[in-house]
Amino acid sequence: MANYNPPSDDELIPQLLKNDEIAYRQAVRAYHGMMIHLARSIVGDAIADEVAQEAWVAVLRALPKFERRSSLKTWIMRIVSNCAKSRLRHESRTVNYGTAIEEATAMLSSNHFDEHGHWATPPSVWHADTPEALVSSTELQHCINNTLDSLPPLQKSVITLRDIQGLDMESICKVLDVSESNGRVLLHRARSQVREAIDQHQRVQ
Amino acid sequence: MISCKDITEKANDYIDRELPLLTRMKMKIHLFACIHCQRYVSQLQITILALRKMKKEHSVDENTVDNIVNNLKNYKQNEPEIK
Repeated sequence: MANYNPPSDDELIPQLLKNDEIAYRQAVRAYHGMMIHLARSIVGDAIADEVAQEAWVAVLRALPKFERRSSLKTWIMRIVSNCAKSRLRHESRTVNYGTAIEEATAMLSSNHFDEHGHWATPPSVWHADTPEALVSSTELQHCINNTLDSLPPLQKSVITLRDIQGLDMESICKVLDVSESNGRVLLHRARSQVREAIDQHQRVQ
Repeated sequence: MISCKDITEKANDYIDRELPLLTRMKMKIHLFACIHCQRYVSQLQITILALRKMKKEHSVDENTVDNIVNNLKNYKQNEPEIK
């Protein structure tokens, strides 16, 4: 099924405020899939549906106060992000979403370099060295997915939204409530981890 | 002098063209001479392009739409009035 393009915010918001069922349907068709992806990237597969449902109720409740400082889509995604983060806090998950930034500042492990900052363990030559080759290998796909799943939640959210879902950084930072510079650090760290995992995988082949 | 370690730390911003011109030029010069860093940057680019190819469709089936819309209608009917 193709992606569904919703009516403009100017058309949709007044109708949603009137509790128009057609508008509800249009909004759900347009945004629910993305909401699920975002929720998954923060809370995992098991409760992502529940979080997205909760977020819809929160959207409806907050809509009369929506000041339109961002698009409806970004605003909805921010609500999903908040619902997901509060769910994580509620479930006292081991990873603290709010402090993941500090963890993210650690760069490529220092044992790759000598004391002068030159490569001690240079990158290996990849036998699968095109994007197509990476995604067509089941084992490498598995490796990439496992690495994404093992990332701290904020890193996973940023890389999923930026590289897999294709959102721009400004929207992502608004959605996740992080500064632009922290967003870039998180993205850098996450991408480096995925590259590193692919490198390790190809080294042992 | 920019080191290989510096290159890996700036590679992401280099690829996304987020670096100041001078830093970018220094990186280009280093990359011209360093095969390992060339490989690193190229692998990071390939990784990003592979992730883009993993994009999933956002389509939602009509049963899910029905369920959510029904939940929202129920919620609206039972919503406590805000005073």
